[in-house]
Amino acid sequence: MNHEALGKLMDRWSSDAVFRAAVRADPLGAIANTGLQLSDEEMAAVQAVDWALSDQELVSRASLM
Amino acid sequence: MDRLAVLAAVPGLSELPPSALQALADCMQEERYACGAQVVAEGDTGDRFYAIVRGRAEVSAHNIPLGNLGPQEVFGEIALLSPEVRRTATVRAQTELVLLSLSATDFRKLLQGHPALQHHLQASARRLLRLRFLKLSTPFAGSSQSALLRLAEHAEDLRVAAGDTVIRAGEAGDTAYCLVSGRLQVLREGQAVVQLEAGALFGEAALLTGDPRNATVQALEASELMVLHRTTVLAAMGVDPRVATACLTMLRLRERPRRTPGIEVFDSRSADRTPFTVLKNPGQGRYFHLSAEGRFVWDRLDGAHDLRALAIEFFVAFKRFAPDMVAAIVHALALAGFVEVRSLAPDVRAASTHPAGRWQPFADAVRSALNWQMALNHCDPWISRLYAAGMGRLFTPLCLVAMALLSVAGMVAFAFYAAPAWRILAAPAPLPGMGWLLPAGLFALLAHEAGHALTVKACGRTVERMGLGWYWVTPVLFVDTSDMWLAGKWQRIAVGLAGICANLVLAGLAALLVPLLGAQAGAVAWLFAALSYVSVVFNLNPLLEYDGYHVLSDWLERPNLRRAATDPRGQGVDLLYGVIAAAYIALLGFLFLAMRSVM
Repeated sequence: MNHEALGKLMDRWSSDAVFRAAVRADPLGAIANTGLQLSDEEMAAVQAVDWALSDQELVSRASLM
Repeated sequence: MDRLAVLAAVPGLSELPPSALQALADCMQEERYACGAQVVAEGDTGDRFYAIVRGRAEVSAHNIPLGNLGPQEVFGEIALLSPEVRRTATVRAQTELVLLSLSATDFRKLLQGHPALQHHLQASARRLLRLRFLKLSTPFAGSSQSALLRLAEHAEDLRVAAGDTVIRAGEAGDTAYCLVSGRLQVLREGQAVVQLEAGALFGEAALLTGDPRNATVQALEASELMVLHRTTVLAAMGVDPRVATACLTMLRLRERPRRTPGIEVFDSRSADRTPFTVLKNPGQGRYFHLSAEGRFVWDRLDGAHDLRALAIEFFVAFKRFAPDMVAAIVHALALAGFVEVRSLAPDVRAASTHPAGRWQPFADAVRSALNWQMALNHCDPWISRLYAAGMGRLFTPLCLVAMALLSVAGMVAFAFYAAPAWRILAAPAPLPGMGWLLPAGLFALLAHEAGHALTVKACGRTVERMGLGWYWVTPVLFVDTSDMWLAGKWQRIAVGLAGICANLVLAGLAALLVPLLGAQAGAVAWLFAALSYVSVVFNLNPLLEYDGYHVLSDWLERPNLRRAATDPRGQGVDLLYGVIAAAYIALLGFLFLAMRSVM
């Protein structure tokens, strides 16, 4: 996937809530419907999203007694 | 079936004169579809218009669900007005479906005989087209029918020629636009940054924030637009919070976030050598954990990168197409005050904030009552002085070993003197010296908190604040050790255990003094030790945010363990956390039974 194609994908993703939901539910199917041709490696990149987000605010550590 | 009543309830058709509505009803025929049957297919020539009488249908395009239709909703109307247009979506029955349909031929005949109806239908059709467009092709797709209808009724149509400027950077703006057809380009500082295609919403940033337009939008070809005025958008937000969500989502997705000044950055590695970063906002005393991916995003929050650029660079670096993840990281950072984003205009904030639920004030009051604190800030210099004045010697190896031996010996003595002490305590006569338990207990509380605070200093970190309060059903003293988020795992565990260790030392000392104090005073000392051990067991509770919980969370290297375990959107309770919590409950049960057998 070159950057131009990726940019088009992002433009669609940014402006289309339905597409965002579709990517979340079925990334391969949704991206295939855009008509963009992805290589195997790029398809793997689409599938490799780990949704277990560990980036988070840390709660206050108050040692209570 | 009362066709007239059905059509009179259809939004957009309801304002037709009764005679015109009757004529329309007479021309329509009833159709029935079984669940799963296809009513119209995307790409087919459109020749009928439908109104749903009963049942539900799903609308999809390119196999992507666009929405659902129910009673009093219509579809297929484009075919009546623009016969050259093919079906733009597939409609399939989700339940048994009863429809009223009208052929294009009948429709045209009807229009010829009823000029007033033609006028009404064209006006209604324009609204229906706007409604359909808003529902199927714009970020407002998930909003309610009533909110979309409000937008559609008050929207205006605008046609522009190639080269026309729709909005200009730097100008004030109180309108947003939906691109119905054609193609536009967005320019920043004269450079084309993105092209917009049908369905795109733009111009919402100035409308929502009150700031000047941040970009220029020009037509690349003849285009049709739907103009949404500020008052219309605010009114629709009041009807359905999903309109506000759609606008705010677009605003955030196009944001160019910037790191809040003064944030301190600390890089570290977990026990398995996974790199992570902790951010500290010294002004607010807040901390944020970033993965390696999060750190990558953080480094690019310079006010120049928007989400599009961030996601592309993220893809290049990690070979993952993850705009949702990038957006979630930025959103979480912004919520926690680590990133600056544009703020909403006051009236937009008011319109997008919906009143709390009926029980919310009650729930807030209960939460406040269960977790109330009065804090003393800027206490670190005092504790540093205390540490430097000699308390720091408690952390020399010799002192630590001595305290450990004292604790162990005290436990042995406690068990040894349990039976005689209990006989004296169980006597009906009041025991002299019991009054000492209250000051001794207060001293134990102070020693517990001092243990935490001094260990923080031994680790070279800062005590943010200390104070007193109420947590669930108990009054508490507390020391805020949040700065330990910047320390290593074992140092955090040491701080978590320090209070308990202080209690064990005091309990051990009291138990060892039992034979030296005489029978009655010794029994009181034994009781003090017993109460100290109870407080230790209480503090090990992993289910509430006492010391045991913090130690467990640090040991598992799962920050915010309790929040993650109880978050309905999370992945459920961590197995190990669940097992340890169950073991703790079992320990409580065992101790209760043991005490009953002794007493």
